[in-house]
Amino acid sequence: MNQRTFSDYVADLDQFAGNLALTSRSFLKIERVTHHELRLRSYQTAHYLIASGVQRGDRVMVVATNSPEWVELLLGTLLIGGVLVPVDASSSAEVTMRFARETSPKIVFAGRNLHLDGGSDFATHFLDELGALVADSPRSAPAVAVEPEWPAVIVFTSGTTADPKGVVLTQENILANIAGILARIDVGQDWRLLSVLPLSHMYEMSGSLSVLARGASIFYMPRVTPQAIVQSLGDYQINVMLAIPQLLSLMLERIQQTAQERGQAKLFQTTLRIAGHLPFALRRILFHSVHSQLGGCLRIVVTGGAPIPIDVATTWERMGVLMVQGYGLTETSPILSGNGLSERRLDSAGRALDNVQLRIGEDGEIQAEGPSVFHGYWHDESATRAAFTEDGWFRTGDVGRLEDGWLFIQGRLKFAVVRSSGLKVFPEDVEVVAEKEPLIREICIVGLKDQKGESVLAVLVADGPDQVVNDAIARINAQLEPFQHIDGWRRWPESDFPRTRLLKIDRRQVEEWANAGEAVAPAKPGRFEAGEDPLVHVIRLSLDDPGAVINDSDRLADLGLDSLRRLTAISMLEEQLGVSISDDAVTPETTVEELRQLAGEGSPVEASVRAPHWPYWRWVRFVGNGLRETVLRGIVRIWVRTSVEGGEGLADFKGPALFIFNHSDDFDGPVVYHALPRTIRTRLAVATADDVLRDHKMLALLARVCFAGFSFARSEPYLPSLEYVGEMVDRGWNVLISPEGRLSTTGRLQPFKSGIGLLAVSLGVPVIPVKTIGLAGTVPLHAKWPKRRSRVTVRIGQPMYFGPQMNYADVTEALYRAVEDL
Amino acid sequence: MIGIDLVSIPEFRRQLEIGGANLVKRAFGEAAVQHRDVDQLAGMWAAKEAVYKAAEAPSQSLTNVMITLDASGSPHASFEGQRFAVSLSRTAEYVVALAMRLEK
Repeated sequence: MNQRTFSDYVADLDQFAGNLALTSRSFLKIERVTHHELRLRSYQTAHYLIASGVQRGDRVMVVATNSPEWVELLLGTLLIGGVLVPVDASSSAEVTMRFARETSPKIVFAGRNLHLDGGSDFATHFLDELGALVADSPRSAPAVAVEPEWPAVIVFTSGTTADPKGVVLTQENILANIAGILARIDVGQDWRLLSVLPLSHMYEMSGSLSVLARGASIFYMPRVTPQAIVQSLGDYQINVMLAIPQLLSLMLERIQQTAQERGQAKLFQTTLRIAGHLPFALRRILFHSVHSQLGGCLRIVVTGGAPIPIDVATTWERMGVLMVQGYGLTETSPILSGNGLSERRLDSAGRALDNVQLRIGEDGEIQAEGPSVFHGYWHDESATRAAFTEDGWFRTGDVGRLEDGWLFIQGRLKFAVVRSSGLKVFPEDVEVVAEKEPLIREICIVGLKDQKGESVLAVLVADGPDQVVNDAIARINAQLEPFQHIDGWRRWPESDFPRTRLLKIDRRQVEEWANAGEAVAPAKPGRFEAGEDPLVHVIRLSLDDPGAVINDSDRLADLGLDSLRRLTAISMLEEQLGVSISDDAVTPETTVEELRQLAGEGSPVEASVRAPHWPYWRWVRFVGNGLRETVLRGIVRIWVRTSVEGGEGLADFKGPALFIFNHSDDFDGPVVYHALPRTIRTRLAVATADDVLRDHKMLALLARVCFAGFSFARSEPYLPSLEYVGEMVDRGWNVLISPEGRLSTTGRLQPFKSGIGLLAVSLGVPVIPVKTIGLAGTVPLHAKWPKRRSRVTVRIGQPMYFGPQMNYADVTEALYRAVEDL
Repeated sequence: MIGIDLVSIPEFRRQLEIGGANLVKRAFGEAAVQHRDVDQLAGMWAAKEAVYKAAEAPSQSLTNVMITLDASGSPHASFEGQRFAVSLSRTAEYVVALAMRLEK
């Protein structure tokens, strides 16, 4: 695999033509892109960009969350020698416009949440419309002879706001890093990677491109929340993640919390100690319950972005998950060193990649050289000069040591607070803003270390009471990017800071004091707890006031949360904490503290809809189908004689389709099932009421084995059930479902739940109405055995098709009439 | 009783963006997630709030108000067995809803 440019890279995707490359989910529908399709779509994107006037060296900006389109746009841009400028999707319109002014892109592709007006400077499109935009473009390689040294991306470092530096990486830089990564980590075709980090970071971009280069598969979530991650790990049978330490700490906390709730905290700790001496396979068995929480397949986590605390890494390893740590910077495309899958040290950032050379310079600074090291910043020659030594090695600004080739990171040359997310906050950026506040006489920003990483602490020499200082801090925060926010503050105990010989504040001393803990009593820690508190975060977001001061005793109404904002805050809180909160419990009079309690007590949203996979194993289907066609069919016939009308056209019908029927009797599932043609029956799953599956074990087993039954919610929340139907259809299953939701006791058709209309329009599969006549009363509600024998007519209607633009309520109505009129 | 509510459409849009599908689901029921027309959702929100005020009910139980269109296209609402006439008026920036209880 010798790829000089991305033309080679994209062409090589066809080695794995049929493999699944990218999967994403939007509402009920799953989008899947194979490697072959990715190649063709990249070509189409390339042609589209050419037609839009993008030429070699022209910039294309993308400000959107991860999706297959994002990757297609990246490859399409590189194929014609364009330069992609990725910007973090959560950036505000102002920040985005500033990057746009810096790089003057031809086109900007944005997410739905961003409304940009490029005027005559650039065109804007929504990234999710890329598919439609390129649909008519040719599916052949564009005729552009790309050269390795052409710039490929400009990535802005998360550094100083006053002075964002655009890192220019060439095609060769990125491809060299991919080759280096793959030489260190043997990515397999069977890797299923869950994408949790933004593609606008080189770590995720190069990581994703490496994984795709080996024919493996990447999965995207509509929203990245802890809850969505846990759910997706199972849904997609994920075995690999690229993660930052913060996420791993968070997930670990949850696992330990669950153990505690089950009264197994001690057992958990003991098992952990023992597990250290066991092989990985045994560890996975020991921690089976943990792994089933994590979907059961997660084996490898590649961490980067910030150093992972050794105890977190050790705990994960003892539970049987391989932790592979690496190190790098945006300027180095990004990986410089990394552990391998077999040769690993948890305390080290690994060895230099095969095509990277590392050395330790003066002051212990790590310096690097190799084909993945960038050549310069965008339009910033002085910064570029400062970034390299006289003999041309890149200065990382990090301090470390090398022992037998293993790299150990010790700290930073320059002061910066490194959040656990890997984002760096440079004290000067915050201090410049703070100095405008008259009552703050001196300020020194330092990093406050905790188990997860660092938070931003302001150490102050200030006049006035705490309340006034709080307000000042709030005003400062309002002028900063969210990741730069001051998380807390303390007063310096003397009238001035310690100074260096050049009369600069001695940051090291202040930082040591701040981290010395209890020994030095902080001036009242203040009620100001920003950043880390999700409740404060969502309220601020909802108010669109990042600096708002929020006290626990404040009533929501007083904070300015009207009914809509209140609901927004609850909705976000639920997603972030993975709990469900009843909105009836939250009124304008609710205080912040009460809401915090509600969120704490909120019932954890159970992943109860995660259906077992075993009913769809081949041999289970074999046994189940056999039992159904012989024994069960015979039993049903004792009570019900069925004659079938219609449905002749279904003989050659392939499906998948939704079959809907009137629910007039507890026996109708089996009766309708048998009335459908055999070709349908072999792949027909029945939506079974969740309470039935839960409460009647024997019935549940029967439904799952013989009728490929899956759980369908009868009450809110419906969405997970609807999504599961989407998944079944996606896997090629026909689904039999009763849209009434409840057995009709009158024999008359009850109104349909609108979910069926929603399914019909969003899945885009045909719906076939079925009606049973004369069955009602055979097994009435709550009866255990059939009460009478009946002669039943099953009428099968014509398939109905609905376009995605149709109103689901109208479709529900149309389906109702179709069943009624049969 | 009558009730009135004014909704700023850009602000409403912002809330939907940050609150996402979960918010839409809570405010308008699961089926509305598919609904992409922010203007229309803003109108529905205003109508609901106006109905709560007309009903003298606290603004909660958000999916309990049913809003329907009659044959002539004018909106009606029902809430806890009471019926309401609703009238909407909008500009690019704002939508205002007026609700009046029809009978006790």
